[in-house]
Amino acid sequence: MISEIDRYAGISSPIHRWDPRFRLISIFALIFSVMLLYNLQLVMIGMIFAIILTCISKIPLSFVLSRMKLVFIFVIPFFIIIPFTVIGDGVEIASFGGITLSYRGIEYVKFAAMIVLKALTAVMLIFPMVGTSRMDITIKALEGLHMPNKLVQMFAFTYRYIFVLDDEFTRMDRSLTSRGFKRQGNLYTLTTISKAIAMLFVNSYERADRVFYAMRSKGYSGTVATLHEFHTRWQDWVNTAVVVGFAVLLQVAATSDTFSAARGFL
Amino acid sequence: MTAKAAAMGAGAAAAIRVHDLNYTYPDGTAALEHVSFEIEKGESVALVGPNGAGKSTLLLHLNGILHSKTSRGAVEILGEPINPKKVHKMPKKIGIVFQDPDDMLFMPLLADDVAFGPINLGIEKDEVKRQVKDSLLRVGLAGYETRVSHHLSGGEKKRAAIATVLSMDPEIIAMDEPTANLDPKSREELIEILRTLKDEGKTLIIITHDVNAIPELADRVIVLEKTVIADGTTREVFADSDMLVAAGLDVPTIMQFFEVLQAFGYPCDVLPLSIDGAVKNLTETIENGSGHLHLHIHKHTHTEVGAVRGKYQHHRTAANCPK
Amino acid sequence: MVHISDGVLDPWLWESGWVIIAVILAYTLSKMKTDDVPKLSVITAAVFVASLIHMQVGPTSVHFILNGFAGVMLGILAFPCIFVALVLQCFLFGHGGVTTIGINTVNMGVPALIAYLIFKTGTKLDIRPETKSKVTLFGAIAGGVGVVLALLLLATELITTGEAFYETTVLVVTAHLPIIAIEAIFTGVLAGFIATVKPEMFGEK
Repeated sequence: MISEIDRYAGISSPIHRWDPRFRLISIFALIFSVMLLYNLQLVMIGMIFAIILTCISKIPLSFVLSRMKLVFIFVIPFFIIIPFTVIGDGVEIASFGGITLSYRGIEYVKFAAMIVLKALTAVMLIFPMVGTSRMDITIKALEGLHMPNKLVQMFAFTYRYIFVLDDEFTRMDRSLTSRGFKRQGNLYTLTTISKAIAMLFVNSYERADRVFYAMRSKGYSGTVATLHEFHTRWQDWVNTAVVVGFAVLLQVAATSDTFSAARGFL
Repeated sequence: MTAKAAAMGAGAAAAIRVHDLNYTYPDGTAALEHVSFEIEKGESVALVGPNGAGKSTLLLHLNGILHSKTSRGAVEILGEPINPKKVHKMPKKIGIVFQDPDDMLFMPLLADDVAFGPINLGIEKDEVKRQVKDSLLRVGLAGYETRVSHHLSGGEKKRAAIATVLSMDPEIIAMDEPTANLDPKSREELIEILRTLKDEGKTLIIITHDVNAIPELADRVIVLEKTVIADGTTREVFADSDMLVAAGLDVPTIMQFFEVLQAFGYPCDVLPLSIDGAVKNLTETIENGSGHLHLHIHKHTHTEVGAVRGKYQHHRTAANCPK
Repeated sequence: MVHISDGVLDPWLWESGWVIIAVILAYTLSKMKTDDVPKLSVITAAVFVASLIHMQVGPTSVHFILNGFAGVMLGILAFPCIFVALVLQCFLFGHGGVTTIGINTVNMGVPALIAYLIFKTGTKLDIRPETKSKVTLFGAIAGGVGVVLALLLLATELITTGEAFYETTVLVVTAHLPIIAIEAIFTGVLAGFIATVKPEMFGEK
């Protein structure tokens, strides 16, 4: 079953009360800003800011960390691999067969740490960005930000049908299991799963027809509008000024000599 | 045409007029052949027929979503033939409730789904909001505006789907198996909603396999099997049980039971269709019998009971009947 | 889907990713009929759900990438489909990166389009139950090509970013080699199945 990032959308915090349109844009800008940094200290400052934002949003840290696990698994190999080399120069530390493993030096450790921290910061910021309002409101915020209507419709409908189709696949999977099917790493499993997914596609295609008929029956002629209205208050502007201001500040600091960009060695 | 319909039909245009409607699926199988019927305003009609008889296909023709060269001009709604180019204008006249509510609730939030129709019809925002609130209230989902569709129960989804149509305030409402797959309580609630709509004077056309609900919901029954094979008042159609069984359909359980009672000597000319009818019938019979009801077993009773039971056993009639 | 996290690639790479995807999205959205939106959304949802399905292969758990399949089914409309799927993946699970949504869409979408062209040339879009074996064959090729090209783009981007990523790149590519075969078989079976059951699904692009 799909567990949702917006599980804690119902609680109240300054981030939750922030107009989702402003919140999306501001934190998006902040993520971009941090990703553009190439100085470990600045990245750490960015990360601290991300942690503060997450704390203000009152989303339980345990929830955030459990969701970050997968990204951690993805980036941790970088941390292990990047400081070592088998091709370039470096301090030889091990040799087996014809392959020599060398240590590249502290610069590379720092670089690897920076990459891991950046990746984690970005993921962490997703939580205050979209985890603080229900997904449907987030999609409406995209509409409010004048994203093309067709794309907004695709987001709304896709989001809705992910759950319907997920249930459908779960039912199919259970019916396979109840007839003695077990997922293993062999060709039979692969072709069976493939056929189950193919059936899912055929069913969903037919459902698509029915959904379209239903929409036409309700007068659909190409655009979708909703009743939701966003109300902007002065706090929204303050929040935006703080977060965007911080993002800009990071970039200004990056150009100064104190935090000289450490990209040169690459 | 029923007596009521005939009386009303003199001057005013029919709510639905289908004349010689034909439809063939893209793969060449015929879905509808020479379908013709008329439904007057305010009538409540049950559309029954076996699986694959073309009932849902017929429904989709009623607002022009499905159309073909052969169907041009075959369907008139409120006196006007359907223009396939103006399907998006149809919801004002006829609303369709699909069988699977998941097909109708495509927006993330319930209020958006209910507001979808009226917004498309160009109704002004405050009015839409009022309609949304009102429609949800009418299906017993007051305060469900901000609920997420995929968290609703099956019964709630069915009712929500009806609300998305009520919000457009159509003259005619067509429904595809509204009571299917519901628990008894949800089914009861749904029937109540439909009864209220009927009492409000909406024209209803209801596809259903739920024969026990038909006497409560419909004044008239149309039996469809690619073409109209029977059309009459609920009583008339159910009286022809041989035709219904041959088409793979059923009569209400109460009716079958009273037929069994007849074999035990119960005096009854007109078989009751519903529990209410049964209570009335029993009361009358007992009163006529000066406070008693006389049933007895004679030498043909069990043969007769067997005959009644056999009549409604589809596997016998369909497969094993020699004829 | 194979995707790169935030903070790994050189900024100019993911920046150009956004530019490219903005242009392609603008083009495909203008080409897309509004009537297609519901259908495309449901197929996108199906791709999304299918890509969540895990299968145990040896010590690791793999999941389907499906970009080749999306290409075969949707042609150029695979771009908005992949874009929407990636954004929702990021929004719903926090996977896959924010700044890299653009370049990840390119990495999936361009191979999807090429897979489609191969499939189109191979089958001439003559899809009937009778041509099932041909459809299966070219479906498999398209599925395999989709992953190979996605890996190639990914590898190029990593190595362009820096020599320090050489080892990582080798590791990522090696880890994905079995997926090429899995994806090829998967897409082939899928295409063949649909050709038998509902060939008209290939009709609309």
